[in-house]
Amino acid sequence: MDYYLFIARSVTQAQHMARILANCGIRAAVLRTPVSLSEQGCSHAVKVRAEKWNAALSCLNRTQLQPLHIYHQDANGYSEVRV
Amino acid sequence: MIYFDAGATTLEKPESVRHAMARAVATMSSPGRGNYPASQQAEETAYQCRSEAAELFGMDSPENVVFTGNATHGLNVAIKTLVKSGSRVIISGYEHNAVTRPLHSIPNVRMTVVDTPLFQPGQMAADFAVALKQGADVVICNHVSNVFGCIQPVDEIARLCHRHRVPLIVDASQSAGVLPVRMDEWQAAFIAMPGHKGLYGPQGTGLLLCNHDTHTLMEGGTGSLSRQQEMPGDLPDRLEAGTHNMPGIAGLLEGIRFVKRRGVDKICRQEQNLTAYAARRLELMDGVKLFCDGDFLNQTGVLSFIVANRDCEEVGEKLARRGIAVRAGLQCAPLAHRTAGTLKSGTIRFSASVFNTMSQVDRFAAELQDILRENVKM
Repeated sequence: MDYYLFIARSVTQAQHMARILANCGIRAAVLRTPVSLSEQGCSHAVKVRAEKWNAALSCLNRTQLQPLHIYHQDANGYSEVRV
Repeated sequence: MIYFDAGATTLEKPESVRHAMARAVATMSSPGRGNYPASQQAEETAYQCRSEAAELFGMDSPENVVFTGNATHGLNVAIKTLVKSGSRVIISGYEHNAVTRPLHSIPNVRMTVVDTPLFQPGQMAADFAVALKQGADVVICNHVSNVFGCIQPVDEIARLCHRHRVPLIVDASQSAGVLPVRMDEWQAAFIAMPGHKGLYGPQGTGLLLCNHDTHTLMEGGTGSLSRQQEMPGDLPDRLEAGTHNMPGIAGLLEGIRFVKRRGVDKICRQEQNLTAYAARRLELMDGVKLFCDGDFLNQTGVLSFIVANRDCEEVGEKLARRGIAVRAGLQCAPLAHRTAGTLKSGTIRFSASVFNTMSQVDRFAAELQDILRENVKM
């Protein structure tokens, strides 16, 4: 299944992002970022289903919670999404 | 024992605090350190605590609610962020050593002490206005004196600081959970508070509300940006090096919920009523001098008094032997005593929590009266 990962600045920010997304009706899970995506070491991310990623981005854009990076995960692995 | 030392620590806690702490010990590891339930449960509890504190104290973002070990820890972060060698700092004459000692440790701080007499908030605001006109880099003020319970005019001081564009640090040690403490209204740079007094959490907990960039007091692991050797730039990780006190945070969360359920206004009124009642009982006793605001409008549940010709520590000890816990001496605030003229004598401090009752005040007054009679016999 396709997913998008919104990389956060801290676990607290990831949790805050997940709450904001929940308020927008988007289910999101907080998890530790795969090490291959963590350029600077450990971090946390919010995972949303592919069909929700655009809505998720719009929802977050209405707040000051901007993800550090966004990655798309599919059968071929991860690719960074430039927005 | 009847406990009237809530100004130091509230001893009796809501049952939910004890239960949450026991549950945390059994089920929670470190927040943010793993994708397994023990870590996730810790994350959830820590986040919930930040969120509920943010709501109670008028903060937009839970990220800016930082866990500390106590108010002193938070004040050290705030002071050492804002005050540099040569800084001009204005403080009230009622500050605790948690403020004055960190300031003392920074060389060449030029300090102005606003030493307005007790229970004159209007005059104190005017005195701060005069001091601010001389110029300042930082203002530090407690919301309530830990010795005398006097409520400081922080609303006014915050407005003055805003007008002069001077960052304000508020020590809310005696007011968090008892009076409205609002970052959105004060726009302070920092507000520091303990978790173990009016928020009914356990010892070893505190919060620093941040509205300003911060310098770290301590560096270490945060579970984030691990390859980077500088501390993360973002809060709360920037100020939270090392493993969190999860039993403490879980207890603090329940303490905050208790305060919200009961209501800050109601808690304040209850403590003021107890203290006003104690004052009425004590003012009838020969040789007792009370430090109080007549109508208790400018005073919380803290009451200091002295007894003529008696050492305050001796009276405190005699009360303790009779099962009454109060705090005697300088209460770690020699500056406040200097301002009030009690530096030599110290005071005996009665401080109530919501768990105290009028009948406990009666017993306290009766025991004190008895001790004073003993003295007469001597």
